[in-house]
Amino acid sequence: LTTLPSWLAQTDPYRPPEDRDRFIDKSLRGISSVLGKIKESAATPRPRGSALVRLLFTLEVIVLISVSRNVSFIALGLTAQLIVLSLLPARALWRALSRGLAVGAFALVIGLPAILFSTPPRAILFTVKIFSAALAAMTFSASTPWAELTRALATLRLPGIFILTLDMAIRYLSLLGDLGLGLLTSLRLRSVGKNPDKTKALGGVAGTLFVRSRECAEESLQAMECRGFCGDYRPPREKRTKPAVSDIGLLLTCAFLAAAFFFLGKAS
Amino acid sequence: MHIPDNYLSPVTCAVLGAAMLPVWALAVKNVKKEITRERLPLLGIGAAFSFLIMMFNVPLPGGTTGHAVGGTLLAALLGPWAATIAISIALLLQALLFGDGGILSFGANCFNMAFVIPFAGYFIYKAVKDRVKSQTGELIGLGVGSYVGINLAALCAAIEFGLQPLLAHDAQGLPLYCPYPLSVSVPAMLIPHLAVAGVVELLFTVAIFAFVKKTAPETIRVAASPKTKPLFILLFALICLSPIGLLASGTAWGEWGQDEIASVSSNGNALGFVPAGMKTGINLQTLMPDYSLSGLPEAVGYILAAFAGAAILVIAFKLMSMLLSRNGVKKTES
Repeated sequence: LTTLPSWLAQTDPYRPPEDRDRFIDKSLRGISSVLGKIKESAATPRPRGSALVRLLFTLEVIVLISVSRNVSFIALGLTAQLIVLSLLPARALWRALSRGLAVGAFALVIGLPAILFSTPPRAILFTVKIFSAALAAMTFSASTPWAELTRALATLRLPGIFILTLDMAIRYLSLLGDLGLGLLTSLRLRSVGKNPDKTKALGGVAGTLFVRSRECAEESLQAMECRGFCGDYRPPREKRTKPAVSDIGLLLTCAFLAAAFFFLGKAS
Repeated sequence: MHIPDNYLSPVTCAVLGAAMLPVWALAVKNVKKEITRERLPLLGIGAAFSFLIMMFNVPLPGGTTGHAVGGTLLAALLGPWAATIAISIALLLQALLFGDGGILSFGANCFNMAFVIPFAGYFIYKAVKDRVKSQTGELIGLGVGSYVGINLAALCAAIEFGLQPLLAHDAQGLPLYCPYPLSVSVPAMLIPHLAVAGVVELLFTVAIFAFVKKTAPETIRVAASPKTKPLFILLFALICLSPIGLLASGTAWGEWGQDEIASVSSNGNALGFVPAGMKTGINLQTLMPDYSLSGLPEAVGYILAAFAGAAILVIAFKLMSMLLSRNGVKKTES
């Protein structure tokens, strides 16, 4: 019977020197959050109303509140937004509100010296307006699946090439994002010990992503041509159906806000 | 650098959005010429790539990280016009779907990140690359271009912020949008960009470009030199905007005239006298004192002065480059 040599029975004393790989973690987190949002958007149940009406409402609220200097009107606009927000499902509601609050809090920090050192503290309005605009944009985003967004833009008669590019960007964001996540994970697994050349490693990941994106472009063109693509793209538009109750409600709110803006005026 | 809504007044947003319209139109025209139908999907995929590289964090000395924009990188890989379109689409997605950057300020964000960065970066990259013909020269050009590009964009954003108290205020003179003047906004934006964000952009751009150049050089677009037309359009727009200076009360720091120097204050104390050297020194009589011409409104005077100044500079630089190239020819002949 042979026994193990003593050197083989010993514990390996190898301890890799510690290194900070925060750039990989942060990049992983960034891409994961984008992918998470894409998946969430794809899973968003199709709301009853028209995306175009929601887009018009969002743009109207953002423009009117931005132009207005009247505190009462801004309060009115914000109330209308909160009512629309309250009608969203809880998850979508939290997505919109958390982003709005984060942008608003950042604006508060930026504007704090101006708020503290001016009388009256007019800069508070600046913070409220920033919160309101971010909330409006995120309410739209959280309540509208992406495919509907491009359909709404197509209904506004934006050029086909623009819609095609936008559509493709959303799709490939998901595909290339998955690839980026895989590349970063493998870099994370292979990073044992100290890596003195982190930037080169990151250059490899992002560079591979670029080379792959060029291949994707070639492949998708071949696929498009096989399906008869000849350079002209007519995006699908929103179908005209009976207007939903939510659409009528939003359109009435739009009209009400426009009238309030007209009567309350711009000045404070 | 993504400016959310309401940091800039709607008028500023409209002006910068209008400034971007001809740039987008030219970009589409040029990309159609350069990128044939075979490469059409590249634009959308380029936009997705542009979006994703903004998610990558670059390691910095000391353990901190920062994320890059990648404008100069895209300009070098796809060409500046395609980069403008790709970054614009990425910014639109970020504004509409992720709440990153405003919807009204979309034009301003595109101006800073989709126009200034790729074009400034690309021109510097090309200028260095054409003069230092080696791979190191190419990478140095790219590094300098990306560093200058992002800092120039930060300066543009700072100027946009800093002009707000002058452009939009209420009856009591209190600002309605970004409340800080240029004296605050320029250092607040430029110091972190010069120290951190510029370095991040430089490292990121050079690392990726070197990798792609080594592993798949055929994917890098053979760059045709872009025309200088867009620069002239930008120059024209800046000339038209020059009367904005009229909104500022007082004279620029260090540009006081004899009649103003006595009232200049330091630490709350007025100077109270005119320095002797200024009294007896040369008093140059210019053709257009204070950019005004008698019989014309002040704003028209400003625009005329800006046109004249720009034309004189262009003439001077053309003559200089002609002389330099002649000397160069003589040297090579001898």
